[in-house]
Amino acid sequence: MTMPPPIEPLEAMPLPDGAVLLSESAGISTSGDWRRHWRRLALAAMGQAMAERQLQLPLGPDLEADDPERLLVLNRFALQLAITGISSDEVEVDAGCWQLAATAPQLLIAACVDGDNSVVHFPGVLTGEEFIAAARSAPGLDCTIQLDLDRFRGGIDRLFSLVQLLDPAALPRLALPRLALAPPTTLLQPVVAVIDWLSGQLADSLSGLGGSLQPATAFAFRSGVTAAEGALTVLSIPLGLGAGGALVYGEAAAGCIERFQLQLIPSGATTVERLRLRLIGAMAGDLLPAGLTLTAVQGSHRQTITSQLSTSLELELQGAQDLIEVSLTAPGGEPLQLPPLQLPA
Amino acid sequence: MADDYEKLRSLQAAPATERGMNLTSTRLSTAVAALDRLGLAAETPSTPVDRQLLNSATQAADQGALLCLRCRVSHPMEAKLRALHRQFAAAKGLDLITLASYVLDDDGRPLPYSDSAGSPGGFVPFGVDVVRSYDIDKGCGLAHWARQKLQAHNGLKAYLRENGVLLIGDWALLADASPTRLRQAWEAFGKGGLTADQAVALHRSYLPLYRQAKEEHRSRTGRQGNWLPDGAFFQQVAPNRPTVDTCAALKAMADAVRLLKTGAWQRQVSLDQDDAPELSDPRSLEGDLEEESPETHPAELRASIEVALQRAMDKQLPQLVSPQSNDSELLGCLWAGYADGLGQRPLAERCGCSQGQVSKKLKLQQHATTIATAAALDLQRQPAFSALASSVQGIERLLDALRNHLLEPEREGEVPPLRRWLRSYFAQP
Repeated sequence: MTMPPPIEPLEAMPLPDGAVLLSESAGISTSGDWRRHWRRLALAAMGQAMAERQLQLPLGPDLEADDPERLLVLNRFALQLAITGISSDEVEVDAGCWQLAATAPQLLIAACVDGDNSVVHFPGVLTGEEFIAAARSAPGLDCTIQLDLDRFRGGIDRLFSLVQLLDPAALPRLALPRLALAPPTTLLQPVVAVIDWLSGQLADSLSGLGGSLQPATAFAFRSGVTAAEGALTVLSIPLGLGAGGALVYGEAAAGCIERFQLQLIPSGATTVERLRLRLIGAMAGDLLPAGLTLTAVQGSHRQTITSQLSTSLELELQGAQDLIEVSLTAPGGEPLQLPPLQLPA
Repeated sequence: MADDYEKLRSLQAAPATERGMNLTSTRLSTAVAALDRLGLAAETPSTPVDRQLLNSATQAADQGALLCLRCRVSHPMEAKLRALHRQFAAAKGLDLITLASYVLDDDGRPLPYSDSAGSPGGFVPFGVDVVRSYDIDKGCGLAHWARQKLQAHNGLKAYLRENGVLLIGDWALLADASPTRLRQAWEAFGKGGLTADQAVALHRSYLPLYRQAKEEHRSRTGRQGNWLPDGAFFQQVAPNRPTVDTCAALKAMADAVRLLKTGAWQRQVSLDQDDAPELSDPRSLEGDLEEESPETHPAELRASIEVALQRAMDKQLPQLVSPQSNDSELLGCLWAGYADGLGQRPLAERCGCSQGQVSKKLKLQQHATTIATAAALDLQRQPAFSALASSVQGIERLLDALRNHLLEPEREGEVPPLRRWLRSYFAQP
């Protein structure tokens, strides 16, 4: 009997098809931890891949894009970037943003980074639906989900094709069922510091709802009215009543017959002292649908108001240590819960 | 046998050969004399002998002892280069002389150990750098250190990267392995006294310290690469074990992971070598179209598609075929050869590159996808295709059909659109 020849280990690995070779200077960076560094390399590779394909798709956010917890926005699609090493065959996906449909990305892309050689490979993309199917059988640990890279397909070209050709409404934001079923108190929704809005930083959990910030002066100029006394900025979330009277938000709201918006207006003399919540129709003077209930809870203080032939609903909260929980409910529907908000005490 | 200490493996001029250079063995009389003088003439390579020679080179400024160590490191480096060449020459076109030029550049002239003493002409062979940077108390042997230094050589790494090969060092390989893969690798290929549980525990301790050490290295040097662990690092990983043992155990774990991954990597290399045409979906474009838009006449759809593809190719291809880059000549040759209908092997022969480079440079699937996407975007403006924007499957079916139509003939003797476009482009005066 002859023994099989011993395996000769490969001294190096072949560069995966479609890998992006970054310039040497792309790897030069001294700031931030390794996660941020790898994310910067992955973002640079994404930019280079777009340039190679003569594509100019808007990629955001402009601020803190290298923050590993932030979702990206590529051509109006919310995108999660999950990063691992170049020789790895698994990737750890942060499941935090998948806890609620409002904050879930529409697409997930995996990037394999070799910081030593400035090489990035994108094995492929999963839609929200594909991710949820894959996550059902994957091991999870402390709010992360370990996925085989074989699950991802199409390379970065699949990403570019989907975000160019699909209507954003075709890729719904979906919550991961086992996390969505968890009681609300266990949800690890990050707290949103309202003061960050003054520097233009909007949390993914709010931009995921279609929220956008406008300086108070620009708001007043465009709408012809002052947002509120001492208003510093205005955050507007487009809303509507969809099929069966369910609350819808973001771009999907544009297709609704009954449309309205929730405005969150921090105000104060020099810094944020209070927060006004205002629900108004999409057009000035429109009647709000009857039975909409806006609720705000701050510590032991609870405020609630319901529309009945109303053109606006308003609540005001003062600066305090306690977090603010805001929800909006349509008759017979599930409440829309905003992430917990924090005003300066 | 002290051959390893007295024979230097390096690139030497060889006028009779095609390249004028060859990898040869040179017996250095200065090294032989040093071995005799230190009573090491009959010794085989070992850490105690390395230590004695290193002491003599550093403390007694013995240039002969340093030469012995330069000979010593040239052998494992040559072995590593030959293995790289054996594994990747066919698929990636690696050239052994070029590989050797980065690290086996020692001409054997006596040099001082101290780098402040300088060297004639300022040239420092890589082998000298290896020995000068070696700290015997770091816990790893000199041969291992030489391989590690080679692995971190920037010029060599850049040459390999350009040819589609990535040098992945043991430490990065270990960091990229998940606990599941590490256990699997250790159970299949692990060598040493550790159980699988102990290997996983050591790996768990290694990982955060590796990330931290790399971050410190990056903030100090501005670069991610060229980090190598030292004795203090191994001490932190396993405070209760001798650093030499920890180094050896981690190295054995990296070897096991490398062996586990070798199968997958080999499959990838053999795919690169494969001259078979790229796979295509045998369905015809017309079949796909009828499925997507049953109400519209297929001839009308086909005409719309041809127009959209033509527009997309007119927009995308000129810059691809005549790029302003260093390899524009090679790319021009490859595209012209592809237009003529050449397969991967004849293309590589005509343009003087490896088969691996042909697919890496042409990127046919990538370009076909970009063109297909641009054409699909154009088509979506028409009512027959507008509904596709709401279906992932519909979009992907259309892209598959367009991509295959671009690259593959649907009937025998037909020229697919991408080749047709290129032919007409190259026929222009």
